[in-house]
Amino acid sequence: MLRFSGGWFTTAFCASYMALFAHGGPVLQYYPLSGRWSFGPPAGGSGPAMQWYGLMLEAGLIAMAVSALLRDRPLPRYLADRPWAVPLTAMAACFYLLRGFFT
Amino acid sequence: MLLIPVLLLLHGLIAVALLGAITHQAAAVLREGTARGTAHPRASFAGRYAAVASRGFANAVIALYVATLVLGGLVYPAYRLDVRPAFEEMELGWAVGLFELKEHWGGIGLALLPLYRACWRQEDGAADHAMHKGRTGVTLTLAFIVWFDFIAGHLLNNLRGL
Repeated sequence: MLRFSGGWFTTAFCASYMALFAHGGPVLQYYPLSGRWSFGPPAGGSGPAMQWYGLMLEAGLIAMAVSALLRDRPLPRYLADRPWAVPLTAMAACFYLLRGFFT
Repeated sequence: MLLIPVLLLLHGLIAVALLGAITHQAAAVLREGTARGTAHPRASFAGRYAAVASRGFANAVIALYVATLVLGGLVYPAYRLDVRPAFEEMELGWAVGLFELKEHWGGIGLALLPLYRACWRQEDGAADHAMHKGRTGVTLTLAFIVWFDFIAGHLLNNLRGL
């Protein structure tokens, strides 16, 4: 059975989630009107696209790979002492990227 | 037709249970950090509220968080098709943004759960101040996400429900 490191999973997920979100979203998108999934840019005539499922899936896969590879290595000291730092940074980055809705 | 309101109701009810569990736990870890040596920690209502076995909440918080997020994920397409266009028509850009923030922070909260679980599985050491700090920080971060998502969801549902 595969073993994962919780600390690495959270750190890698937050970092990859931020990167995917900042660079225009995930590759995989869902179109709720037609119930279709699609890779690549939004398809015309399919209604609104939803990126969240794709973001979660892609960041989750990256985090699983990283946390399985690094499971026996401890987090760097700075992160081990402040394990909330990367999640809080990711939350702040999301707020920054969404600031256009609030101005 | 009835499925979405039922799922939304379940989403809200489980979120209430999650809010209760994580708030108790957050209060308990804060009390552990600040009220060590207090002669009568159970003398006040706040003291009694925080005087719970915080470790015992961890599995319940994880299960409730996952259940809440899965139910939220199931009703999300209905929001995207029925509610968000209404917000846009009403020019309530901040409401769209608030939901986006709720969604992203909710996802980050899900990713926080493995770390949260790891923090709570560690045995208490006699002089492990760093471990306690880490556990407190992670628990408070998760509690903040749960409170924010709960209030945002409640507010948005009041503006335009499913």
